[in-house]
Amino acid sequence: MELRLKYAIAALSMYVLSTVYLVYFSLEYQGVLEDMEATIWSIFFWLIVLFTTVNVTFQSFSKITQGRMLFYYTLVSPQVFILSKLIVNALISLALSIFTGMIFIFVLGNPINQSFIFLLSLCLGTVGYSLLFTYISGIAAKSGGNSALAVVLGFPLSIPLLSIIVKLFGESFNAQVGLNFDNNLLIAFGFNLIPLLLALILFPYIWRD
Amino acid sequence: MNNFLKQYWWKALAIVLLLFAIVGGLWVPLYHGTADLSFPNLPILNESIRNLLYHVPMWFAMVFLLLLSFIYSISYLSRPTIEKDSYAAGFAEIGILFGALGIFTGMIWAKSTWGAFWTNDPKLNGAAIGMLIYLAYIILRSSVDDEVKRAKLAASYNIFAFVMYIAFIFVIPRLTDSLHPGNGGNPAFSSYDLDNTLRLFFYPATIGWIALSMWMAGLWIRANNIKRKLDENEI
Repeated sequence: MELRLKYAIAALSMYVLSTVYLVYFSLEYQGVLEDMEATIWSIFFWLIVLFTTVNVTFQSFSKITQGRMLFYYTLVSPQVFILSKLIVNALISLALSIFTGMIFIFVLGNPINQSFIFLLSLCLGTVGYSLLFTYISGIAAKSGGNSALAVVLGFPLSIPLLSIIVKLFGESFNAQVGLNFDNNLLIAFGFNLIPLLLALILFPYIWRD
Repeated sequence: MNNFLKQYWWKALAIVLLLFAIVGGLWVPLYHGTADLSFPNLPILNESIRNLLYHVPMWFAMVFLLLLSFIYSISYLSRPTIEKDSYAAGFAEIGILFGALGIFTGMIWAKSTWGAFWTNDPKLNGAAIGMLIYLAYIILRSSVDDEVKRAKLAASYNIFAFVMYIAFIFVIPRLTDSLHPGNGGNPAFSSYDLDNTLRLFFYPATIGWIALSMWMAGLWIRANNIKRKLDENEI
């Protein structure tokens, strides 16, 4: 469904690249790049991932024309439609955030000591965001608004997941502690599950105009 | 619900209970070892303990109204009528008003007891996020012109947001300690601070504020309904 929009994915990759370079140059000219703390790394990383995810999910709804939507109405059930959107958006966001992480390591240095925790929190965070924002973008696109509306609607809801993921993410910079399967991991998983279930339950009510 | 909102007995009850709680809450002295009827005299809190009769019930009223709004959103999706949508919107809007009042009274209290208007406290952050979510709800409503579409989208966002928010409220105290009573080693009011005299005023104040908030929401919703009908007639 989304592979037809190859240029969109290329545009998003360019979006990531230019944002990372923006961060790089602003840090460079502030002179903090040499002794930059890992916290700054993680703040910029998650901000970029957040905005990229909003763009990915919003364009997946706003690009659908009225005629093609009509075609989907006759062809599939709303659950199948939203589920496919959720899966595809999660995969694209995940690919883009891994891409972001690679450029970050390449350009801004590598503060990561435990790559397993890093990858785990990156997956949970990105997939959680894309699930949340897919549904929010569906609402925003239906209301005829722009992606700013998706940001306004989604950001307050994304703070809970962000606070837990940043905490998990911070552990990957620490060389001392290993992975402990504590509550944070479970909560982060829960915040992936809740938007998924809610989207599946609620989307059938809003998908017809 | 419409009949209930038009009845008088619970509004009279609200006035009586609130008068009782406000007058009594200001009149009863703090405990100095002699008086029979007195509030606990605690260090740091001192006279500001009277704010308990405003700050806490306002949060209860907010949660109560947001819960009603959530219920009306669910009932709208299962059986849509435009009245249910106006109930959901009105309860959410007055809920925001009471949330703002709760934050305001809390800030005054925090300044005198913790020394700052705003601290990095999980409950404060939770309250701020809740306000943001419901302000976003209002923005979503104002961005759609079509009535049915607005009702549908707003209801689905309301349900989505409410469930996420409740999950968040249960989760956030695990992340950091709170300065609020009952968290991080601070004693809860219910354990021994909330003595019987304070209780005598606190429960009426809670019921009174909730009833007052219902009253305000009822008036607000009915005014909005009249406005909508007038608009329809003009067209």
